[in-house]
Amino acid sequence: MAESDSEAFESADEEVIEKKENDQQKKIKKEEQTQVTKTNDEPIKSPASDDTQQSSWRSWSAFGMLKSASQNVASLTTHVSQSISTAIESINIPDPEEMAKINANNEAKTSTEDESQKTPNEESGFKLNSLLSNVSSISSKVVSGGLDTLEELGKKTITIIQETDPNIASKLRSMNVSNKPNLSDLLKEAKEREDDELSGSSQSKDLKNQTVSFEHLLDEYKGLVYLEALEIQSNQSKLKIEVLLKPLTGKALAEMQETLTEVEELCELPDADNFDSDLTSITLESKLKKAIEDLSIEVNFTEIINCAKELDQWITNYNDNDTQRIYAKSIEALAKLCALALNNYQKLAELLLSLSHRSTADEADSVSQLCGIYFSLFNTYAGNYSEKISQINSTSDESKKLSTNIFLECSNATSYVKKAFQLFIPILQLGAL
Amino acid sequence: MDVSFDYQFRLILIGDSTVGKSSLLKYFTDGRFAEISDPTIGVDFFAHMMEVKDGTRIKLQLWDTAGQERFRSITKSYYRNSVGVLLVYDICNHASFEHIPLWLLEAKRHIEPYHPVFALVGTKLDLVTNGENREVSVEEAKKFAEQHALIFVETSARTGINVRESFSLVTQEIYNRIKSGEYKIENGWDGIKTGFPRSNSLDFNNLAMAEPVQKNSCC
Repeated sequence: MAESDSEAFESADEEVIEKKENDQQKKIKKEEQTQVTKTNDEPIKSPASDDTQQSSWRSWSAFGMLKSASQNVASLTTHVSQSISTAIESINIPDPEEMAKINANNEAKTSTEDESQKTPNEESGFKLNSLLSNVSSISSKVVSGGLDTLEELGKKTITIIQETDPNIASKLRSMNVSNKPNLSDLLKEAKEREDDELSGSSQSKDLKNQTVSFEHLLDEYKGLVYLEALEIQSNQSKLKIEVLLKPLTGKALAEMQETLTEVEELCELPDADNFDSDLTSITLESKLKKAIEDLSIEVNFTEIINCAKELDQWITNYNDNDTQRIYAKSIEALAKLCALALNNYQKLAELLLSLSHRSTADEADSVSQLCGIYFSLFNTYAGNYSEKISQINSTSDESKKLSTNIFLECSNATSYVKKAFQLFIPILQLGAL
Repeated sequence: MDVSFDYQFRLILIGDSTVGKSSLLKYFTDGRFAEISDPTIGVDFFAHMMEVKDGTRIKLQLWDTAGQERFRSITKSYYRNSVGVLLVYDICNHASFEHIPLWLLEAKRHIEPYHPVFALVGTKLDLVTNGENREVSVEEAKKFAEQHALIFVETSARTGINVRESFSLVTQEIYNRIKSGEYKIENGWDGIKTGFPRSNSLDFNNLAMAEPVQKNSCC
């Protein structure tokens, strides 16, 4: 059992490293524990949040966020419903500033209307109902256009929220939440409130019991443990980088830091506009193979491809009109695809770390391409299921709600893959040193 | 789908490549022998539900590590959160047994300050019952196990003999140590975690708050 190259590379600092690592892992474990115990009707949390943050988010949002969000979403919807068809056709969505200007104009035009809308809501504290109804009406409009439009709307909304509330960034920072809230946060909040509101009626209790928990299923499909393994390798790589940096000073240190920055810049999340929503199990296979063709390793994608094949078959062959069943299947599908994507990343990381010669630029390109493929994959299937539901019933509130939830869990899946992508950065950086 | 459990134990399998760690786990989780063509990359995961003698339900989270040299520095970082370690060797390959002390040392070093339950597990017993091929005698292995206070089992993932036993012995021993107070559930260490009952009849709102089920607590 000779010591391997990478082991020899570790110096006497190893013990120190491991102590640090232990501490770090303690933190991570704590987070993960919180996460694992999350259940159905608990608010779905981003991997980095904890209870304190969540409660501050809740209370804070009750005061400010939801109010301004709902107002802006309301006015945005007016605008969007006017221009959504052209937006989809042209795909040339105006940039946030333009959007805000147009929006401001619209607001000015409809200010009387807005006033009358605002008054009762300000009385009630926040304008939840209208946010909910707007979110669901947005979603039903967007279903046919795909998630990217929905994401786009989210971005605009956030931009506008940030513009109207300049303090929002610091509020978010102080909560230690990502300072770029995304659509899923808004939707989560909306879903949570919606569940709270509806919990009184017996009909919603039935619904609640049938509701499937994405996080629970993701755990069942081992997604969380794949992510944990990746996180361990990510932390290990970070610590090795620290050890390499420690003895350096002056120019050597600056050069190495520059390399680290360069690698980080290579790791750009793929552009949201380039996601497909028409992947099939066949195109998936060729895209995955192509994404890693420049790497000197083989990654086994069989499971995720087979999973997509089974999902395609199910969608084609399902002929009943049970929308709840389709909904349950969609969440299961998203959880499984997400878990398998995380598994691909975990294996890729382990394979790359076992190489003696690394090729950072190619690696970063592959990791980024894979990320785009997974996003497209989630979009595609979320779209497929939601379309299936709207084929059966496109008008009922129930169907709209199911579709909204499907896209919510889709963005949830996306954020897990994003997290995995970020964990990859130190692993790639280490290869460049 | 009843997935409730009272505790989760994380076990890790280590040992030279091709001794049959993955086959052992596949038999344990699927109940049948599986031809495995590809060597494990990094780490694979299995899960299995078990009951200990008093009926307490344990979810085993099993980390199946790659034995190949090139993954050694990667798999080392997975040791830490294990409460049980299966040291696996091939009864028909003496070299794989000779490396067991190194695997043991390595595991101890990485799991410190925690003290997991160790088991020494010989594999491919089916190859020797026909007489020949045995390179590691029962006496030799037993002696080593006694010296280091390891549970000792010889198994075959082809016939299934003792496969379940090797895992249930480790599981029972971990559970006993919890009952005796030697092991405690600690924040920041995932070797042992408490589970919670989950079923459709429960109100999901109360689930996250649910206390771990206390059974026959004697501590």
